[in-house]
Amino acid sequence: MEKAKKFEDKLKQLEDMVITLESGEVGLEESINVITKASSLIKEMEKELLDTEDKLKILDINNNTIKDASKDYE
Amino acid sequence: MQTYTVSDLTSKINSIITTNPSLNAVAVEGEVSNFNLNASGHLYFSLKDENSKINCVMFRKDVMNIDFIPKDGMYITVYGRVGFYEKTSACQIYVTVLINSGQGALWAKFTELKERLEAKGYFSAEHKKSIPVFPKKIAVITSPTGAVIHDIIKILRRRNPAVEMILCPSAVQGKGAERELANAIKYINTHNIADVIILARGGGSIEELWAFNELTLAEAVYNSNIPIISAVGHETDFTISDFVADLRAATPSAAAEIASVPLSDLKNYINEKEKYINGYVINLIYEYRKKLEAIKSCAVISKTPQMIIDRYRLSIISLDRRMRLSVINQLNINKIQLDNLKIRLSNNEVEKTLNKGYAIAYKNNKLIKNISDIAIDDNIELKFAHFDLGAKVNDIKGDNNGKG
Repeated sequence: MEKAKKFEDKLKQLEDMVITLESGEVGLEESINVITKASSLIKEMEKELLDTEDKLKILDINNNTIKDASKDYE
Repeated sequence: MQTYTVSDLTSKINSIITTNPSLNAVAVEGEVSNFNLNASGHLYFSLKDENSKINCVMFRKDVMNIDFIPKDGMYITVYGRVGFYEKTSACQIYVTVLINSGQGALWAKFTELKERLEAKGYFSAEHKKSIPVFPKKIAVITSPTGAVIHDIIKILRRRNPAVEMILCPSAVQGKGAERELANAIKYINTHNIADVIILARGGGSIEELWAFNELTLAEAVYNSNIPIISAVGHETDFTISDFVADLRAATPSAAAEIASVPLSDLKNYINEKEKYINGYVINLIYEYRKKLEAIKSCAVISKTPQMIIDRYRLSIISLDRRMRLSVINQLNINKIQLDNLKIRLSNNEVEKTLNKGYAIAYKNNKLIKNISDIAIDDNIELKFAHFDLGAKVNDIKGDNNGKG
């Protein structure tokens, strides 16, 4: 649906990486690979969670508009 | 023609009505409007259909028998008699029994549609999509006024401020509401407005919720590519859209909670994973360092280079020694050979001299070379080439340093 990978896909990826490490069957090089990828994934997700600006919009189908509505619903 | 007084006329109308058997016991069905529960305990309301309406009254003694409160918009059936109030020429029904028949009719309609759609697979679990864990955009289709939208906004803001809410106002009851709701769903799909849709409406009667039982809306919900959480009415209310939707929430507030994982939960979850990975890295480094130390301190590995060097050193020393010895040996051998050669050489010279008739003189096997070696009357040996002579010294000629 979206160009960027969905958040829950990233969550699943992270979960899989941790499971891989937990299995204890990874060699040194593989571990480093996984850890590096996991770290950058974590950074990405934390960045997404930081975006906490209040966003409330109203959709007007008949006029094909979306307007900001944060003030209307305080 | 007779000229009546007003009272006579109303009285006549009254008697016509009250003496008409079919008006004495009537059953009438219609939609409730202008409902009023009087302080006296009597019920006053009107029953209407598309073309007409008639006033009704139900006295307190009969009201106590009914088990629900009629509301405007409800379809009911009343049993009673038609009465005529002369004073105001008002015709009304005196109701003795009141039944919520509308509910019966609509309920049948609901059941029929539910079975039909279920058979067509509209409710099948396989068709339902999963609700995204962290939707970035949540569309809410509901009435723009009222408690529902405010509750939903409040909850979404509290749980996950990182989410964008798009309110899509729509009628949620009355004629055409189902089309408005369906259009909203289609629009949101076409323009990819959100990651999840909440379809919500507060509690109400079956009539008030009826839009959510209409086929038009059911189809829009079924065909939506974006997951839909349906939250219509109270916990105990079930509408067709609830069954078709990807998820049914008991209340609109519950829908808001389902659609939004608390930000803190997400953060905690990620932190946990991060902590695990950091711990893993530290452990990894520790393990490998231990291994490295073990290898380094292992006797074989740590001593080996030194051992090899020492071994080579010993070899070199030993070779060196052997080399020296052999050189010395060789020198010795050469020396001996040389001495031998010298001796042979000198022997050769001696032989030549002896062959000339010269003799070598010895005293006690010692060569006589100096005067001091000899004295008068010494016994000496003379060695000739082929024989030896014994002799005695009679005379010595020469001076003390042996030169003659």
